[in-house]
Amino acid sequence: MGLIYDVSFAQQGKNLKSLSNCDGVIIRCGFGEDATSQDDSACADFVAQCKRYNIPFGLYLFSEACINFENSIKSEIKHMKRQYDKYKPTLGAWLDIEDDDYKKGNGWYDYQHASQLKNYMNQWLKTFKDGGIYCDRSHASFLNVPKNKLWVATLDDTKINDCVLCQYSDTGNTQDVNCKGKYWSNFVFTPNGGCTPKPTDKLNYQAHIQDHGWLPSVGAGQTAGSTGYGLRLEAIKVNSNYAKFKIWVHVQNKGDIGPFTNGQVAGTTGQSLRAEAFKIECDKPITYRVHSQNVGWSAWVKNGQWAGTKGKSLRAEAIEIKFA
Amino acid sequence: MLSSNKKKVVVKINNLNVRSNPNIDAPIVETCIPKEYDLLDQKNGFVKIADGKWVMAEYVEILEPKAEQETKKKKKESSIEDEEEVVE
Repeated sequence: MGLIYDVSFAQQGKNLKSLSNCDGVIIRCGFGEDATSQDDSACADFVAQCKRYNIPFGLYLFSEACINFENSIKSEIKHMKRQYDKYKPTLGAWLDIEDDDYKKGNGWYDYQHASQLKNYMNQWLKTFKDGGIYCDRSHASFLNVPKNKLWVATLDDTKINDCVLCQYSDTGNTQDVNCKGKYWSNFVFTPNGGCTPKPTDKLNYQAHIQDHGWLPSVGAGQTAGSTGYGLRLEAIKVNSNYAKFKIWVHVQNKGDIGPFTNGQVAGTTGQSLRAEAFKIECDKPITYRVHSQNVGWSAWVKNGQWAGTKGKSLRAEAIEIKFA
Repeated sequence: MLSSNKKKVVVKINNLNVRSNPNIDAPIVETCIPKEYDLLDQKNGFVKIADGKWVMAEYVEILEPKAEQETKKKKKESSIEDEEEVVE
């Protein structure tokens, strides 16, 4: 849905003015236990710049909790809380969990301590209700991070569509892990999505929305479109090498149009017309739901049923489709 | 004999996913074979057909237990007879 940048001491001195049109910045506020010497040296400046340029921002803490684990997590939460209260991030507080050299040097591998880390995660989420967990795919899996609290870090830009926030380098060189001096970027597709199946040939679909045009394809069950931004969904395109789709769309001023088949634009583009409801027929059992203005998500419906609203002049904003 | 008093569900379509929990986001365990299954539970728009196996209720037909079917059949027959008596 937009672009978020991850900045830390590695980008110290950078002017964020050029980022004022992005959707947000995630700022590293420090690492490990609560000590001012472990605050990120660039944090205060980046926070000030975000406020100056009106850029939404969040904070993340690089966790080093391993030895004396219980004491460490208390102190790390305290560390974030101190910065959180001071800077009041608009995008919440994120706990960065990963197997770093410090942990490995102490014989600590996170997967061996999953239950302890889960406890940490739960305490964090309880303390910072507007934040989440920033980790790699492996950690996300064995920690069972709640879908809407997950920020997956990946250097593989082919996986951008998987997650709420996916990290990659803005240089286009996704193998470049030594990003010092460069920005790291993160794409946000929905504020309430999560790490879900990536688009596959079996099923992928994309949304054409107001002001943004075509969004990247998403995989089964993922949100195509946006929620919480007040943007109308205008059209969708469904691709599958597994199932045959027929899609009808109820469009502002036009009524029901369709059917549109695999790969076709279902809806309208370039006419500023809102889609209001969708009906899908498929030769495989599917289920889908539509997020509508003032209504939220519809129930999951099956083949051949309308999802969304009709005759109420309410815009559809997003759609999710999956095999039943 | 007991089984005849259980509710049944019939899956009539191919490729219906079986999920581990009554939730559309739950992991897919297998694909369902179209046939009749015992209905063990109903929850959240799903029906349970075996331990750890749930399918979306929208895609199955729920059958009444045989005993209940027979009672309903008898009721229906008796109401038809009553109607016939009225007509006469």
